[in-house]
Amino acid sequence: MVMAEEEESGVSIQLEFPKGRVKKIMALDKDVKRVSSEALFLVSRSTELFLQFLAEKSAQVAIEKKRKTVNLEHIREAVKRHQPTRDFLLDELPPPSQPTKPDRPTQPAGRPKLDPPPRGTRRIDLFFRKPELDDPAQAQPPENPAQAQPPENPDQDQAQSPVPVDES
Amino acid sequence: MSEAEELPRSIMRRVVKYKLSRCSEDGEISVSKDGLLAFSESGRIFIHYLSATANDICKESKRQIINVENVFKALEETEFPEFVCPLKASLEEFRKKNARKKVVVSKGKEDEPKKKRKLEGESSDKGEGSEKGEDNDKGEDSDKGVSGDDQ
Repeated sequence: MVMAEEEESGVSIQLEFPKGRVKKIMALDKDVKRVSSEALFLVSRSTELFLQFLAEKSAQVAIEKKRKTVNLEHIREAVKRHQPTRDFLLDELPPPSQPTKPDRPTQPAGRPKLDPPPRGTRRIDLFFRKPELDDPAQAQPPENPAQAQPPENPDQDQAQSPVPVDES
Repeated sequence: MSEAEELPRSIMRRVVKYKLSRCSEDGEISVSKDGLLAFSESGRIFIHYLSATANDICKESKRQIINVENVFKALEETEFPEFVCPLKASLEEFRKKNARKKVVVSKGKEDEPKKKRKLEGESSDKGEGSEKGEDNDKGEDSDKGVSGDDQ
């Protein structure tokens, strides 16, 4: 892809950024009153050089991290590594995107998930639980609604029935 | 932010991708959407930063118009001296190009009176229409409202 027309000297001078747009951006600063056409050309060309410089540094970061796509994180890292750029740009860049997945899945509210009991034992609260059927449509509500409630005594949860012993 | 306040995205993509294509040996590196947005924002902030620094230098030297020297000093001050050499070369070419344009414009203005006389001789009705494009050759900077004097 040819970006700019090459003169005999080999220096590309055709600007990429439109001067009018650059001037409008400069004019947003109320202190900047007037700019000569040559100074405007230099600001526009400097911006091009700066973006090429930043793209190169960001690409280096992406290559280091074995990535084929330059993203915001790579640009932020490139900015951090270059002191003059960091001074004016780091705080102005968009904040790093938050990770979409949490570190560990959050447990649903309700009964805490306890470790399974040792072999040969069963939990006393199983007696109060509704039997889990394969087909949820077949599950019928208990006759006495009080039976569905967990026991009020918290110690009862921890209690376990003794291991059956073969008396013979 | 309005579109007038940001750099054109298509040009931004072209500038960045051109550089990225030269950075990797094994294959072309692409840019994500948020990356491109960050480049655009970086360019805009750099323009503000450089022009504000150049403006401060301009005020120190008690001048009204930001000129070439102010921009070069601003680049030194903002610690981007590596840009100065390529910019000086670009500026030389820019000046040559403008000088060539001025020669073409002045030649065109010399030829204009002859054409006018010819047209006026043919018919007075058509002669009025020939003056329509008389003041169009003011140079490329006039339409952008940029002051051309360097002081």
